[in-house]
Amino acid sequence: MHAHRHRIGLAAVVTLFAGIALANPGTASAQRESGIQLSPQSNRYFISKDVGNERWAITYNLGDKTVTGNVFPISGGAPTFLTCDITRVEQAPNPADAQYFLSCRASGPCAEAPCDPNAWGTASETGPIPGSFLLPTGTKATNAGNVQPIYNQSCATSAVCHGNGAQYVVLSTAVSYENTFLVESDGVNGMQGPFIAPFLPDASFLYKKLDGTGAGERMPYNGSPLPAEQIDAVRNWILEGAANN
Amino acid sequence: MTPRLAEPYRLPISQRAGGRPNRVQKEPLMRSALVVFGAALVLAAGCSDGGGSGNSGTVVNPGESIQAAVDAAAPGDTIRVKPGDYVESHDGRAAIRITKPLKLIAESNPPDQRVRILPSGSQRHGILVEPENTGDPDVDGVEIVGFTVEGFSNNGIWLRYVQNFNIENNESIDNLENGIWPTLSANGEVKNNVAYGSLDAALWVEAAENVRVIDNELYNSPTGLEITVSNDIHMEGNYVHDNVIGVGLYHPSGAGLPPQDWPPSPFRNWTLVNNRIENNNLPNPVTGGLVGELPPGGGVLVLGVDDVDIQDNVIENNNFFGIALIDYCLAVDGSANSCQNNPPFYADTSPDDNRIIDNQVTGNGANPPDGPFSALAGDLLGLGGSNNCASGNVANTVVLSPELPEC
Repeated sequence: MHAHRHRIGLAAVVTLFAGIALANPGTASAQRESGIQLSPQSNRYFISKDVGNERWAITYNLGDKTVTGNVFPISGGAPTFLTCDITRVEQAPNPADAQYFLSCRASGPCAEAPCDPNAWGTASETGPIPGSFLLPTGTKATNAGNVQPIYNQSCATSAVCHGNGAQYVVLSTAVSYENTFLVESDGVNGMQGPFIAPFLPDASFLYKKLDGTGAGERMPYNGSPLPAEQIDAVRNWILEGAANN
Repeated sequence: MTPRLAEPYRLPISQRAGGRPNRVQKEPLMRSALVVFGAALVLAAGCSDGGGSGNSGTVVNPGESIQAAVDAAAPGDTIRVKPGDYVESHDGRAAIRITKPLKLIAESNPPDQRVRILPSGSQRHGILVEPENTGDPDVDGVEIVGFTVEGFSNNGIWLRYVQNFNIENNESIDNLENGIWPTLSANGEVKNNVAYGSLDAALWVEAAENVRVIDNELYNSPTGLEITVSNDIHMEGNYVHDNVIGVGLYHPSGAGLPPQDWPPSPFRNWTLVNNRIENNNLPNPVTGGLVGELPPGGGVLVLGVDDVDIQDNVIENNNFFGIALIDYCLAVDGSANSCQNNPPFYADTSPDDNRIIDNQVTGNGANPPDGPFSALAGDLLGLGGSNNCASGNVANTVVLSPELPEC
């Protein structure tokens, strides 16, 4: 028997995401108890939100910067599945105001194996999607939008300290997260524990080096201490799970 | 809190254009000749005391705490320390931390009588001078004379945010980061010191203004004498030998300090006059990072900086080059530290407006390390830059691209 498959084209995907901007998710959330949750490993956001007459049940996968999941009419009917690559983010001081641009493909359900890869439509560029849709309400700091810029400005400025090729922990954009997240500090300057312990800034080597409460010299080494708002950004980011967001 | 000069210091031209160096006749390891300590020198040392009528009567004897005397002193006081070994028992960052104007004078006469500062517990620096709290005014008027600071994991003598300082007749031995490091400071002199056995620079002037570096002996370190992001730095009469690089005048990318802490100009008016710079062929003891990339055998490395006068120096027997002017990005190209991997904050990486005059640059380049520039080894090497000039130098092997006009 030939499996019946939905074919969702570019126009449909664009329409789906356009709905995010046109609808009022906040109101819908309040009415239908939508929400977002961060996985315990701090590597995924699970998002369930009502947009107009649709429920979006999607996952923002922080490791590979994809958004996947499904959208279905609240009144009933077949779901539409989505797989999107985040192609670009225009950061903003307030993470809710960041603008995410995605390349998405959509498909209806696969009624029977084997699924037809051609069921997925052509990738379409879409956005901007506001950070407020993808991040928990009240998010104060993200890695890419608030923390990495601090590294870039004050830490990874050259190979002498934390730039590429440095002797010490490299904090340049491509590697800073993997070099710090749950990585043990190996007793540097007598401090045991991870460079970054999610949700626990006061147990995080990195934060203590910035606020001057840790062992060894306060960072930036020999330089002026970071402004309080930058230190707070790092603290908030760790408090919020230190996700690679 | 970067210090600002009311009036930039500039050595009078009459002093810069002297004849052949006499003071560069020093023999290797003439520490005793370079470092003649004693009360007479202390009295002769000219430096603001910054505090007017201070107490000059405090004396510290072996077995007593120098830090306790420093803590008890009033601004402007003089503390004299008798010969002996001093191990401070506290767990602070530095064995001795000074946060006020002060004269700290060791009554030493090495090698027979030293006042040695040795590490204990968590102490990482030997003598640290800095304001008490972040954001406090600079410490104005500090003199540190005659100490031997030995064996600290980081810096021997470290000054941060200090005005009007005199660091004289000290020894820094095997302090593993920098030997003597005035940084974020202004209006001072570093004179007649001996520093060796560091893993960064024996003496590093960073983010400083109006500093005179005079008659020091600097050796056995990746860089003997290093200058970065500073203005109005005069280096004269120094004996720099047996390092990986003798004198390193480095682009801001060679400094660890974030750009927000730089002085107004990253380089301005550096004068290297009448120094002896020889046998800087130490195999690099460091692995990784920019320091680890330094090739042994360099006399004077002008790495992407501008406005340097190199005059009347004797620069001999460095196996890679005597004097090299080279674009920073060109020098690090192909390494992990390349400008592609670490785009420079200060985009101008070419050495410009430098003057090389009346130097004796001979016997260099005989045994360069393997690398992309080994074929260019010699006395005088110039790659990149504009408006540089050279005249009156004695040099046998010269590779210049572009050619340098007469000054």
